Amino acid sequence: MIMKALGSNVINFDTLSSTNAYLRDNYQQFAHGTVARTHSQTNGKGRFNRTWFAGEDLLVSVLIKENIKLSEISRLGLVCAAAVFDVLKKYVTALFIKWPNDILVNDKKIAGILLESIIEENRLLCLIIGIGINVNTINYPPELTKKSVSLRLATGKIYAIDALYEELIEKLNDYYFDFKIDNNYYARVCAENSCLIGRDIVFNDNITVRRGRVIDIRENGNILIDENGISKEYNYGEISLSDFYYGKAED
Amino acid sequence: MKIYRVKVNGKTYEVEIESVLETPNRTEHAPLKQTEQKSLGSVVNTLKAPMQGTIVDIKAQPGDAVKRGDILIVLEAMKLENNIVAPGPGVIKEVFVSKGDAVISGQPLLSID
Repeated sequence: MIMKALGSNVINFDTLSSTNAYLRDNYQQFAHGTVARTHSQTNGKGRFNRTWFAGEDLLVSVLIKENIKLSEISRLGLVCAAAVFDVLKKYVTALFIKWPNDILVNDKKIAGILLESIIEENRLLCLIIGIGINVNTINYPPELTKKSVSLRLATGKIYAIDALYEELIEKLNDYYFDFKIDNNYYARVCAENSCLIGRDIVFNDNITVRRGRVIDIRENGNILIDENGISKEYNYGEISLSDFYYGKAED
Repeated sequence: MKIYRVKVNGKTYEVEIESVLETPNRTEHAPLKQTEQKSLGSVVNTLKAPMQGTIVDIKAQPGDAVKRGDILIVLEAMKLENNIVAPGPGVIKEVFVSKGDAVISGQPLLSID
């Protein structure tokens, strides 16, 4: 049985409201691995429907239509974070992964990942991996200038978006393949390049706002947090890190 | 069964090779669950949260007629947005959650008649 790898079918748009929404609304007619790409999104979004500002950037969504357990799908966010990190690390320094799946240059976001699933009675019908990488944008809205950075702003160079796309798809295929054969290398990449380990954070476990210090990103992709001397492991879906999570570790 | 990656003319493909000595019934896609094969008919079907998270959107209200595949509820767990769809045709009987609610895995979300 031959399955098409990620990116074997690519749908390009000059502009689109959201590549994730396009695949979500049309997933039934496309094969596993289909990619929707655009240079400009008019309604891209991050968490809680926050708008993803897009200019001269790499914006792709990848359709996953394979049998993945619901308990496993959140790990794909880390898988993709590792892939994006690998693509960007040769161009920019001071690059970090903010668990679970933001990529930062110093403390500014250069890439983000949003997963969307369609679930019918505890069965995954499809998963859409949305990836946005800030490439050549130099002007951000005022509310984003302190939080966002592009490759161009970080390095002073202009990048070929198509070449970056090819590198991204290659890395996504590599890491997704590893994920399917239970190779947890992605988690090591996320741990070794984490900007959170050793830092004090504020997080929300869906019930209360809590504080703790990040100890580790485990092999299974979970985050290990110490709260008053008691360590507890959380998976991707169990907690949210607050926007005001930063606090330098007290050395 | 083993999975290999091959490149043909620059394109990457994944190939699964299954030994005839291995378990013959294993397939890439899991067999349909029993719940998929049932007709909703007049049976009240309660949809439950597939995982912990926060309700970010409710797209159906009591009395709405829905068909299979309609998105009923959007449940967000950190950067993972789950669209919970109707498993079959029916009428929404009751919605047990509100936008912004935190829910745990298995918590009833709504019922369909």
